[in-house]
This record gives sequence, C-alpha cells and structure tokens, in this order.
Amino acid sequence: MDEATLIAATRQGDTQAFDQLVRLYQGAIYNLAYRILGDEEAASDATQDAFLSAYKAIGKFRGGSFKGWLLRIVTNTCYDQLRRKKRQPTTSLEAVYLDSAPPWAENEEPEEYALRQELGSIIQRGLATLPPEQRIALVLSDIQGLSYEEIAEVMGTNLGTVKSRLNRGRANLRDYLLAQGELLPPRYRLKIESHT
Amino acid sequence: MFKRFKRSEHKRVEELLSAYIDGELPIEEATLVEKHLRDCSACTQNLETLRQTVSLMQQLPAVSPPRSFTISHLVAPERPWAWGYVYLRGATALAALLLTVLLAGDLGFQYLWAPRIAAPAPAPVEATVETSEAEIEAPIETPTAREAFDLMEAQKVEETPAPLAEATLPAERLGAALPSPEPTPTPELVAAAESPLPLPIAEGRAYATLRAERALVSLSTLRLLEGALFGAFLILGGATALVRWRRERYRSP
Repeated sequence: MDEATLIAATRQGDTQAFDQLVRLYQGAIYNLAYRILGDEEAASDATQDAFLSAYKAIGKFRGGSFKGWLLRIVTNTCYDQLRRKKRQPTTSLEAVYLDSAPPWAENEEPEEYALRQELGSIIQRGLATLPPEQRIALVLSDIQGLSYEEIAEVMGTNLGTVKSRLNRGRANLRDYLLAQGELLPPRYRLKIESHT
Repeated sequence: MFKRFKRSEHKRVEELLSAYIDGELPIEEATLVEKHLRDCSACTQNLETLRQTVSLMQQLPAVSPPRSFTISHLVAPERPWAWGYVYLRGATALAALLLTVLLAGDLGFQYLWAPRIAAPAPAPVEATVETSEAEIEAPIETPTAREAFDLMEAQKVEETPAPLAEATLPAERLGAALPSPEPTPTPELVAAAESPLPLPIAEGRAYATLRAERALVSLSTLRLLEGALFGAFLILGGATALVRWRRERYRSP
C-alpha cells in the first residue's frame, strides 16, 4: 500500500495502516527527537507522543508532505518537553547505537565506525550548547536534509528566521568544534587554512 | 567612510555565508558574497570552517530507534460510537452511584430516623414520666414504624429484581433480617418526657401519626425514584455491554 492509501485507511480508524506509516518514518522521527533532546529515553517518549498525536490528528492532515507533517509534530512535542521539564539536553557519553549492523556501516571498517561514533557524541554535546531554535534548525537542515521552505514550515516560521537561525547555529557549533581541537579525531578536526 | 562601508558589508556577508553554502541566496546576494570573499581572508576562512561543520553534521551516524513506536496496541479504534460508549459508561456509573446513595440514605432513614419519629408520641403521657417508662411506652407506637418498614420492604421486593442485589442489596437484606431496633431514650425523648407542659395524649398521637404519614409519603417518592434509577441503570448497563461487545468484535478481526 502506498502512503496515500495508508493515510486514507488511518482516517477510517485503521490503526494497522497507521502502524505501517510509523514503521516507515520512525527512524527519521526518532533521530530528530534524539538530536534535539540528546537523551534516548526522552527521545523515545517524544517519538511515541508524536505518533499518538499524529494518529489522533490525522483528520487535520491536509495533504503535502506527510513526513514534513510528522516532523512538525515531533518538533513541537520536543519543544513542549524542553519547556515543560526545563530539561537540559543531557548527552550521555555512551550515546547508544543499538543496531549491531547499522545500514551506514555496511562497507565500513570497525575503526571508522568507532571514530564516527566519537564524532557523533562530540557533535551531540555541541548541539546541546545551542538554543533549541538553532539546534532544531540545524538538525532539520543538515541531518534531515530539509530545504529552507520545509524547515520554515516545520518550525512554523519564515525563511528569514530560518536563515538566521541556521547561520547562528552553525557558527556556534563551529566555534564549539574549534574549541574541542584535539578532542576530535584528527580526520574530523576543522582545518583553518590561511588564504592570503 | 569607505572603511565603515566595508565593515558593514563584512558583517552582512558573515550573516549570509550559511545560506551561501546551501545555495539559498538570491543571485545578487550571492554575487555580493563572492565579490567580498575575494578580498576578505577572514570571511573565506569563516566559510571554510562552516563548510566543514556542515559536512561533519552530514556524516553524523543515524541512531537506531531503541524500539518500535507503533500505536495500535495503545489506542482503541475510533468508531462513530466510540464516544457514545464513553458517555454510556459514564451515565451507567452515575445511575449506579445515585442509586447507591439513595439506598444508603433509605437504610439510614429506616434504622436511624424512622424509629425516632414514631417514638415521641408516648412522651406527653405524664410530666413526671421516667426514662424507663418512656421505654415501656415506646413499643406501643413502634408498630407505626414497623408498618412503614414492612410496606417499604414489600415495595422493595417488587422494585428490585435480582441483578442489582450483587451490588447493593446484601447489606439491606442483612438489615431486613435483623429485628427493627427498639427506640432508645435519646436526649430529646428524655427532655420531652420531663417537659412540665404535657400535651393531651390524643393530640400527641395525632401529631405522631401525621409525621409518620408524611414520612411515608416522602418514602414512597423515594421508592419511586429508586425504581426509576434502577430501571435506568439496567437499560444503560445493557446498552454499555452491547456497545462494548461490538467494540471487542471490531478490534479482533
């Protein structure tokens, strides 16, 4: 069944159809929540809440990108969680990557994989230092690969705001990574070359 | 003047670099950035480190969800009658609650209040009547209470069929099996017995009868209400069970 059929079935109260949609998008939704909240448990809660809200609000989905709609819901859920619990994003040093054979590691040496995990936890800590708006914009753009228009839609704001949030967010993260210096694996260190 | 212009341009370009990397700048702004980059090493370096940052973000490994987030086990299917079920269940619970409260009040009336309104009649017999004599006189009047009680019991048997018995009746049945408590010399009773102004006996008895009759009238209204509530409870409960059965059948295809 394609996405539109599954959505139509969900509108008729078919939870099994919605479960199929969940399976399609839970990876992306969980990743976004994880990068925003920086905590596995909080991300799981936000993901589950987001899918439940989406199921209940399926009648309000007016077409367009379903994934974008889901991303918007989970972004709001994460915002709420940050606001409600005043939860400072916690970054566990041992960020959990549960798949024993993750899809990206198919042709990857174990060492390279380990290095990327290290990079992952350092960037996660860097993200945690950013204000939520910048962090969300950054994750949506550079991890989820959304366009500026899509980010504006997900965050409920305009293009100008997206641009400035991204610009500031990236600059802040860059400064954080530069400050880490040798903590980063050599191949991931930011290289400052002098252009004269 | 020229230098100030340069500084404001530098600041502006700094703000545009991120969008420039993403190719999200309109052509005139992109040209401005490119022109500025040729002269400004700081901005060039800035651009380079920003590019590396973006590239690192893009290399970030995806995390695997620790579990599945499917929802079908969390929600009951939304059906047109799903809300009806909630309301029905609520109404049934409300009817049961009201019925319980009424029955409890009824019981309280029978065992605590009814004996008292029948009892004061013998009080006016003599101003000097002792407490012990009031106790002796009392049983003469208790038949009024007894009659009322018997009548109530008779009505109850008619109105309350078996099913409800599970919830509310055992206590009442137990109560009915016990002998009607004898009126005890309450403080008012003692006070009435010692009153220096005795009313004529007939008047006292008439008063007592009137009170008992009034009590009976309000009792029968109560019975009617209890019967109606019980009927409502049965109908609502039946409807709730039916809807629930349909829901269960729908859920397991």
